[in-house]
This record gives sequence, C-alpha cells and structure tokens, in this order.
Amino acid sequence: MNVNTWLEPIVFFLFAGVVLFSAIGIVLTRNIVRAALFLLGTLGGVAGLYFLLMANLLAAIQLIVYAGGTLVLIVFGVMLTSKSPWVRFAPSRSEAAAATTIGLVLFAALAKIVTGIDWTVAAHPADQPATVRQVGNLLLQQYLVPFEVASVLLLVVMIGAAYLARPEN
Amino acid sequence: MLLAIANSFWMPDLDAVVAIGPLWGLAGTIVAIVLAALVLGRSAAVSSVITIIGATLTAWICFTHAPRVAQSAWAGLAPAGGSPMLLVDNFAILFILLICLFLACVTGLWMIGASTNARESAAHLRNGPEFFVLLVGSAFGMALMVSTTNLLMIILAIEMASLPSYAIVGFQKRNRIAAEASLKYVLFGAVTSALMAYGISLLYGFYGTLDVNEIGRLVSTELAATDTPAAAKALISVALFGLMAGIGFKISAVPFHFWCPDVFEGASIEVTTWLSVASKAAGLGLLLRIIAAVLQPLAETFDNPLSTTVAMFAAVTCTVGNLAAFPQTSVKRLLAYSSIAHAGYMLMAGAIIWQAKPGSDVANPAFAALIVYIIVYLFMNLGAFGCTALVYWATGSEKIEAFRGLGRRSPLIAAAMTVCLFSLVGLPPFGGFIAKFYLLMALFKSNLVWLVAVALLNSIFSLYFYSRIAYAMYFADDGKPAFSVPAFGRALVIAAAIVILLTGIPIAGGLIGRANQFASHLYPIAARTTFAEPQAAAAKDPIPLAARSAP
Amino acid sequence: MPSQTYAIWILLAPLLAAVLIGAVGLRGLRDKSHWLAIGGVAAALVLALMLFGQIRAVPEEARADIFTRSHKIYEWFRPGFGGLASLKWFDFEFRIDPLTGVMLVTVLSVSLMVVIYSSGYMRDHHGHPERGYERFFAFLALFIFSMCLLVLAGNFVLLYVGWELVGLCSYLLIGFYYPKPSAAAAAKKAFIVTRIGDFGFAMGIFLIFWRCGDVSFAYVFSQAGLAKLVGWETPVALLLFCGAVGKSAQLPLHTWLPDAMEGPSPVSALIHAATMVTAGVYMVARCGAIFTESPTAMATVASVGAITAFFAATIAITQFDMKRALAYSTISQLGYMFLGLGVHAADAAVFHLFTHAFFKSLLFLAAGSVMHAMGGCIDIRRFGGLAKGMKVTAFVFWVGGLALAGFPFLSGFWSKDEILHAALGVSLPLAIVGYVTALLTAFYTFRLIFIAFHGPLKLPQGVEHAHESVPAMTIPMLLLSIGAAGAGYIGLQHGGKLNELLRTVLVGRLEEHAPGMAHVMSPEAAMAMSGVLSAIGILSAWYIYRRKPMIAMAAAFAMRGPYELIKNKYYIDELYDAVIVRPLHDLGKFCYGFDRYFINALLWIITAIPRAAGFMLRSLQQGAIQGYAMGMVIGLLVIVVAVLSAT
Repeated sequence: MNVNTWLEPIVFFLFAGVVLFSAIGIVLTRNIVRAALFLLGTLGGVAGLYFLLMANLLAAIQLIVYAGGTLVLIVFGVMLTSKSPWVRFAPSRSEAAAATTIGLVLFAALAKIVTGIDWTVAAHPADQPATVRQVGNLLLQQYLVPFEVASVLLLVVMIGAAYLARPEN
Repeated sequence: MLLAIANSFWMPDLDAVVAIGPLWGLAGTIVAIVLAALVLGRSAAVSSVITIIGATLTAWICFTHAPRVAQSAWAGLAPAGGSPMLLVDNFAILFILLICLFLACVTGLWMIGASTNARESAAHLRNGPEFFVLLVGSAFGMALMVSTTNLLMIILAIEMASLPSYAIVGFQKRNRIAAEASLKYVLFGAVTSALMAYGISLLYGFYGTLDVNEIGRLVSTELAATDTPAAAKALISVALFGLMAGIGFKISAVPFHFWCPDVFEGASIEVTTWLSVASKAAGLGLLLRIIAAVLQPLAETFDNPLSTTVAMFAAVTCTVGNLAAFPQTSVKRLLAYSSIAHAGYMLMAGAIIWQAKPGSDVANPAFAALIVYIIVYLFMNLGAFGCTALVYWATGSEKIEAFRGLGRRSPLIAAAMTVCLFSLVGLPPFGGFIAKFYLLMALFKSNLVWLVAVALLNSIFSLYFYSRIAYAMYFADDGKPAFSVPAFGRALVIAAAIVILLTGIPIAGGLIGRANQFASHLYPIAARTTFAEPQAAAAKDPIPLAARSAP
Repeated sequence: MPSQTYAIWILLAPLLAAVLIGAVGLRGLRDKSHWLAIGGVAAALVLALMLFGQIRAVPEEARADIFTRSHKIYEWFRPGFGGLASLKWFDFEFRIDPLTGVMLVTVLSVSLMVVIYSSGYMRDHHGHPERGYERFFAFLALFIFSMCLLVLAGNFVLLYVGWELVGLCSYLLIGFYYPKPSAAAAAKKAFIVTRIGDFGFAMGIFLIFWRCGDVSFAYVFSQAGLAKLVGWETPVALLLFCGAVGKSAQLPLHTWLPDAMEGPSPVSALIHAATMVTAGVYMVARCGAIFTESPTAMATVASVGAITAFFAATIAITQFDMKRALAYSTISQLGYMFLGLGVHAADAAVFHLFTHAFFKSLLFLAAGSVMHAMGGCIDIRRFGGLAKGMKVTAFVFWVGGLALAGFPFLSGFWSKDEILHAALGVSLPLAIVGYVTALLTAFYTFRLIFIAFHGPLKLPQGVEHAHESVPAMTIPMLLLSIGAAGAGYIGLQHGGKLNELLRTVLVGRLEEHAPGMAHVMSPEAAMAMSGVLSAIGILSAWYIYRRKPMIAMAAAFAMRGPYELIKNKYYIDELYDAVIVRPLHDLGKFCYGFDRYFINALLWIITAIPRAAGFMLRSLQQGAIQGYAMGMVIGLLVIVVAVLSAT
C-alpha cells in the first residue's frame, strides 16, 4: 500500500481543519490582533493545500505574499492606527443576526449547488514536472502580454502609492 | 545557450507592434510623463501638455489604424495557437477614441480648475505629474478593458483602470471627504474584484480556457444540453455573475452602486467627470464584448434566465437611480444618481439577445443602440459636469442653489446645461432622445415591453429632478452678479451641447448606421499570431462539466 | 470635386463661422468677430460661384437627368415604428440644379456685402462695437447657413428644417435689440405670424408623404410621384402656398414684415428684403411641378400676388418711416414674383427675385446709412436734403430707387417687365393691376428720395451735420449698386443665359402652359410701356414733392377718409388684434389659471409617490460603509437565489 493513499487524506483534513478553524475564529473573535493571527492560520492552511496539490510555486507565493507580506502589513496597520492594541469590535445584536442570516443563506445556496454536481476526480497532479519552470515559460510566452501589463500596472500604482504616502510639502 | 534563451523570448515583430498601436500610444504617454518629470523637473504644465499630446497622438493612431483593421480583418495579439490576448478591432478603436477625447477634455478641465481655484490649485500644480500618470494610467486600463476577450487580461485591465482611480479620487490629501470617498471606492473595488476573480476562476476551472469566446461557446452548449443538471447550470450562472460583478462595479449598477454618489461627491470635479464618463464607457464596452461572446450564442437555443436577470437588474438600477436622485440638493450627487440611472438604461440593452449571424452586416440592434447611447451619454455627462464645474469654480458651490439665476448670470453656460439636462431626460430634439428611442425600439422588438414601460416611467420621473436645475437657472433668480468663465471651459461645454443637438436630429441616422457597423465588428474576428512557438505546450485537459456530472 | 462636396462646404463655412463666433467669443477678439463671418461667407460665395460654373457646364442633353438627381450625403432618419429593416430612410440629400445655383449666388453675394456693411454699421460713431456685436455676427452667419440649407435641400423635410431655421434666425435678429419692448414684440409677431403659414406648409408635406410615401424631390416631382398625387394637387399646392404666404409676407399674413424693421438695418436688408422673404417664391418655384398641375392653385397664386403688390404699394405711399415704406415695397415686389409664378413665368419670377435682392438690399443698406447718420432717426419728416452731406448714400439710393422703379435699362426694369409681359399673356386684369402698381412703385420710391435727399437741409434734433458713413459701409453699397444697375443683363428674355438655364428645371414655362390667349402686346411695346409708366411715376413724385409740396397735403386732406385708411394700413393689424389676438390672449389666461391651480396641484400629488420613494432610498445611503456592504451582499443574495430558482 502506497504511503500516499492513507497519508494524503490525513494531511488534507489537517490543513482543511486549520483553514476552517481559523476562518471561524476570524469571524468570532472581537480582538483585531487575534483576527489577524487567525488569518495567518487560514492563509497558511491554504498554502498547505497547495503543497498537497504539488503546486509548489503557488504555495510559496501564498506564504511569501499573504502570510508574509500582507499579514505583516495588516498588523502594522492596526498598530499604527488604533489607540490601543485591545480594540474590540462590538457588532450589535441585529447586525450579528443579519450577518448570520445572510451567511447561512449564501452557504445554503452554494451548498445546494456544490452537492448537486457529482464531482469526478481529475488526473492526479503528481505526475507533472516542477511547476516553477512551467509558470516561467508561460509567463514569458503565452502570458507575456498580461505579464507586461502587470508591470505597467505596478509602475502606475507605485507612483500613486508614493504620492499618497509622501507628506505634504 | 544564450541564443536558446533569447529564442524563447518573444521577438518584437513589426506587425505585432502595429496591431496594438493605440495601446502603445497611451502606455507611451505614461512613460513620457514620468521621463519628462525626471528630465525637465516636476511641472504640471509639462505633464498636462504631454497628456493632451498623448491623447491626440493616440486618437491619430486610431484613425490610421481603423482602415487597416477593416481591410485585413485581424487586429490584435495572440500567442501561437492560442486565443487573442489583445484585440484592437474597430470596436475597441471606437472606445479608445472616445477615451482619448475625454482624456483631453478632462485635462482641459483640470487646467481650468488649476488656474481658477486658488484653494486647490497649489496642490494641483505641485503634484501635476503624479496626477497625470494616474489619470493616463486609468485611461490605459480602460483602453485595455475594451480591447480584450481574455479573462486574465480583463482582471488586469479592470485593476489597471481602478487602482489609479482610487488614488485620484483621494488626490486632495487634506480633504477628508475625498479621503473617505477614496476609501469607500477602494473597499467596493476590492470586494467586487474578489467576486469577479472568484467567478473567473470557476469558469477557468470548468473549461480550462481563459478566452471569453470559447467559454461562451462551451457555456451555451452546456446550458442547452438537456442532460446538464440544474445545479451545474446554476453554478455556471453564478460564475458568470461573479464576472459581471466587476463590470457592475465599474458602471455602478445596483447593487454595486453604493460607492458612486459618495465618490462623485468627494472627488474633485474633473475626476468625477472622468469617472462618470470614461470609466462607464469602458465598463459598457467590456459588457458588450462579454454579452456578445457569452449570451449571444444562447439566443436561439436557450430561453435563458440570464437575460431575464439582466433585465431585472437594469430595471432596478434605473429605478433606484432615478428615485434616489429626487431629494438630492447637490448637483454632483444628483448627477451621480443620474449616472446610475443611465447605467440602468444601458444595461437594458444587455437583456436583449438577438441571433445575429457572425460576419453579417446586421448586428444585434441592441448593441448598435447601446453604442449610440454611450456616445451621446458621454457628451451629455461631459456637458453637465463641465457646466457644474464651471459654476463651482465661479461660485464655490455645487448645490442647486448655486445655479439660481444662471440664465442671466451666464447665459451660454445655462443654455448648454439646459441642453444637457433635457437630453439626459431624453426629450426631443436632443441626442438623448434619439439614443433612448433606438434603445426602446430594440427592446420593443425583442418583446421586452415591460422594460420599455419601466424605461418610459423612469424618464418621466427623471424629468422632475433634472428640471429642478433648469428651474433654478431660469425661474429662481436671487440677484447674484453675473460672472464670466474661462473661454476654454465655455468652448468645451458648448461643444458638448452642439454635439448633443447634432446627434439629436441632424445626424441621427448616420450615427445609428455607423454604430451598427461597429456592433457587427463585435463578433469575433481572427487575431494574428505573433508569438514564437512555445517550447513545450502546456497539456490542457479541459473536462466539460457535463461529463463530470451525474447522468 | 463632385458638386455635393461644394454643397457641403458651402454649408459648413458659415456654420463654422457661427459656431466659432458664438461658442468661443474670446473677450479680446470680440470686436474682431466680423472677420470670421466675412471669411466664412466669402469662402461660401467662392464655392457657390464655382458650383454655379459647374452647373452651367452641364451639357444640354444631360440636364434633364443631372438636375433631377438627388445628392445623398447620408441616411438621416427613419420615420415611424415599423419593421427595422423595411422602413424607408429620409436622407440628408441635396438638390443641385440651376435654381439652387442662382439662389446660392444671390444669397451669398448679398450676404457678403451685408456682413461687410455690418462691420461698420454695428458700431457707434467712435468705432466701438455695439453691445452684442459678436452675437449679431453669430446669428447672421447662422442665418446664412440656414438659408443655404433651405435652397440646397433635396427633400421636403430638409427644406422645412431650413425654413424653420431661417425663421428662428429672423426671430433672433429682429429681436436683436431685445431690451426694447417694440423689438421684442416685433420678433414675437414675426415668429407667430409666419408660424401660421408654416402650419399649412407642414400639412402640405404630410399630405405629400401620405400620398407618395416619400418626401424626396427626386421622387415627388418624377412621373411616378406626380401620378400618386393625382386628384390631390390642388390641396397640396394650396397648403404649400400657405407656407409661402407666411414666409413671403403676402396678404393676409403680411403684417409681420413692416414690424420686422425693428431689427438692425443690415438684417432688414439681408433677411427681410433679399433672402428669407423670397424663400416662399423659391419654394413655389421649386414645387412648380405640383402647382402647374392645378389651375386653381395657379390662379390663387397669381391673384394673391397681384392684389398684394397693389395693396402694399398704396400703403408705401403714405408711410413716413423710410424702412417701413421700403418694407411695404418689398411686400409689393414679392407680390410681383408670385404674380409671375402664377402666370407660368417662374423663370421671370426667379429672375426678379435675383435682381430684387440686389436693389432692395441696397436700398435698405442706404436707409441704414441714413439712420446711422441721423442718430437712429428714420422718419423722413424730420430730415431732408441729405444729398449734400451724404453723396455716396444719395447716389446709391438713386441707383437702387431707379432699379426698383423699373427705370429703363436698370435691373428691375428687365425682370419686372418680363413678369408683366407674361401676365399680359394670361389675364388682362392682373396685368393692369401690375402696371398700375409699377406706376405707384416709381412714385413712392421717388417720394422717399425727394423728401429725404433733396431740398433744403433739415436735420433731426441733436444731429449736428449729415456725415457720410465709413468705407466699410459705403464700399459694399457701391458694389451692390453695380449689381442693382447691371444684374438684369444676365437674364434677358431673349438670349439671356440665366433664364435659359432656369427654364431647364422650372416647370411652368409660358410656351407650354399659356392657355391660348395671344400676346396682347409685342415684347417691345410692353417694355416701352413699363418704361413710360416708371418715368411718369418719377416725374409726378418730383413735381409733387419738389415743386408743389402743397399738393400732397391738399390731396391727403381732400381724401381724408381713404388716406387715413391707407395710412393705417387698412386697419388690418387692429382687426387681427380684435378678432384673433385678444380672444387667444384671454384663452391663454384661462389656461394659465387652469394649469397653475389644477394641473400643478395634480402633479404635486402624483409626484409625491416617487418623491417619498426617493426619500426612503436616501435613508439607505447614509455614508456608512457597513450599510453599503450589507446592501451589496443582500443584492448578491437576491441574485443567487433568483438564479437558483430560475434554473
């Protein structure tokens, strides 16, 4: 018996559990720093799922950009803007009720759709070669135009960000 | 070894460069502004002039480009064996031309604002290069939006158009309202982008392709097939609506419209003009492309709920926009709601599905009507916002009260504003009437009579709040002194008024004829392959959704 | 260059001038705005002359084909709601034939002179532009554009558009001095009275569209088009004639034209003498194919013309306002043109239109020059003997007066004679009325000249001396006087180029339609007779007003009743006022009350619903982003549920 066949489901449910637990945690906690930490769990869990699918590059990017960059940014943002680290969200009962209802309805609708389809499993991705090389080739060939447009986008956005961040005078 | 690496890159090929000429024009303008700021120093005058030159140059490229496109039946860039990434066909050229025109107009408005308004002009002039890089950047994004059918490019284009817009809305850093508006704009943009990315990733997951036309084909076969389970159809619809969310945000359709009044009010008026005019045009151009690709093939095979849903959206958007405009006292906010309402009218065209044969001269009449509507709408809004800007700069207020007695205080501006307002209502003999007339006729012929009724009822509603401004201008004089406005501003609004009058009766027929031509160009034409052969084609294994589902 | 390209640029040149003057109106360049107008009109004139050359170069055998063609520029609009593909388009199309060519050349050459003249006239004695200087030139250029559109139009709808546009410009220019109540009232009157005629015109066009299913001249005037109108010619022609009566100020809709003299003199010269008022003549000439099919209509046109000519000439004798007298003279001369149209001499009528444009605009410009020198006074009782100080003005007034009086060998002589000669061939009574009117014409014209320019010098209060006008005014007048003297030689009856060319398009030639009545007089005898009549008129004016001024007063006193009747313009204005204007005014008041107290209240109640809805919606937009997010999510939810339930 291949190790994968029994190990994979275990690892999958482990990561999925982390993602779910952290996601619920973000919603339920009233402390913003804790919410940020839970977010780390969600993002990291998703990265783990990517690894499991052999999408190494994507998983690395997920870790570097989101878990590394974005999250730090959020924590910094909280630190710089809030008066104390113990800022608490205090949604009113009616808001919480409305949000819950909407969430549940949305969940029900999506669940109905997803369960209505009999998903068959596609070919196992493990047989494919390393993804970094593939992505690199695609970016410079098939997706060269989006790649270049993204560079223009970054240039413009950088100028905008520099302007907004610079102090007057 | 080096040679091999070099070979694997894209080789610049003259045809490829030429094929997307108008886009080079706008991208080049960005670079030119940045370089000029580096070399010549930070000068608002230099960057504004470069912007106008860039817009003119791009328009000129468009003009030279159009006949070539018409002859060769290809226009754009596509990787070898792939679907087009960029599609600079005549349809795109029309919109890029409009965008360039408005880029120049907004730059002109900005110049007037910088020269007349002491309070804001200092910051304006100091930070001119940044402003114009962002403005042209968003124009570039809008140009991309109308010249692609690739989902990845669509995301990038919308981001390219949106991100700089967020920054220019909050460009007056000291202004709290502007900062708040900018933040709201960012949040809405982020949420709708996420929705759109979600929809697009679902579509890519189903079909393994990013090309809208191909997706349209697959979607239509799948939706038409009787053995597709209802849940699968629903999932496809949800994915498509995710895609539509991004566009709905750009054109401020309900329920993605909440940002619109706040942002329009908070941003400086030339930015508001830009957003209400160019941003909406680009969004509608993209919408037309997607509808042509995705909904068009469904026309005969599938009496689909998508069309009905779009129609409902349109009706709701239109009604909400018009009703909410009733109690407004700020002209800017009123025009913001008016722009929501007009997005509703224009969305109505999206509900009309019409089986037009690809390659034939007869297009979907709704598309032609929509193109006419967009063109006329752009001029109406340019005129209305231009007049509001001139009044604001002269009086310091953008409330309806500021328009009191304008008929005496500045007769030409009042006349131009009146033309624009009544054209926005859709009264003859103005362009707005003709645009609405063609649209309603197309609706009528597609048996969407209830939608015609909604549109007419809404037009009647709108008469009330637009004429409140007209009333203030002519019947509510509070005796304030007359004022004069800069000649360029006057020329701008009067030119807009003249265009509205011209499109009203004198050239209405010619306009719809041309629009029909442009609309028939919407159906896919070949894009030239200009990439080197990929070293190893990625194995694609799209599995139709139907095959995955239970029988 | 194809002829429609000329036509497009002839239209665009004045239009661009109008737009540029009106829209830009740079403050520093305001008193230079005449340059744009002059440039635009001059360019259009050059193009019109080139176009006319092209029209003349068309070989004889190709004329019937080329001149009935329609030059389509683009599809204009589709009437009605029917099937999208099946409906016929109205095109934006031109008709380019000798009639168009003559009209264009007439309109544009007079326009150019008037525009140049205005650049001097619309200034005070120090050369500062009057208030609204640029507005004046913008309107003038717009008028010239509209007039060119009117004569170039290739179908009835486009013709109607031009027709209404010239009416609008006329309104704007009559009311140019709008702070003056009389000017505002005159503008309103002109607009409303002509509108009565336009109603008939519009009905005529509807009738044509209903019968023929098309409004293009190329179709309506073809055999097929006329065949569809069989049985309907008389109503169609009479309705069209209604429009002409209003526009060309014929009885009974003539009352607006004398009042229109409230506008600046160049406007009177251009619009209310040379061009716009002749649009009715042009239109009837253009529709000759329809009119000639209906004897009733032709008789109506001829009689209305003859009666108007006589009736207006009598009023002109009694007027002391120089411009008003000239206005009645214009009405009278237009009557001649209709007489010509009615007696199947459309070519003579258009020829008279052509010559009349020169001498009458010249007279108005000269009157304007007098008015300018007299500080705005135009009452001939208050000045006299001006010839000494204003040599050029007096000279050109003489030339114009002689031409108007039909003095031999000046332009008016040739054209008027042709009409009268043609009338002789059709109906003796009409011809007699025409000849009597010719006598009256010579008399009233020289009455003005002798009172105003000769005798002892007399100046109104506040005017020190009669000074000649600036070159910008005198040069155009001198140029026009060349036309007034010589324009007749272009279109002589025998061997004249103009008439020959015109005959190729105008339906209604004497040779074809003369109902058998032999010529009462030889052409030479008729010529001699009109020459003699004109000389008698001039001499009697000289005798009465220069030698024995008492005769005029004595005659006026002796025939007090008729004199008062004529002097008060037959009390027609008073009659209209009592019978039509007052009752309408009262009705208007009643409607206003109804509107104000009933409709408004009703509207307020109806709009309460959307207003309330608006206020409710406003409460959704409170500015808090959380609320917006909630709204958006709810919206999304509705969509998802809708999609789910639909599939």
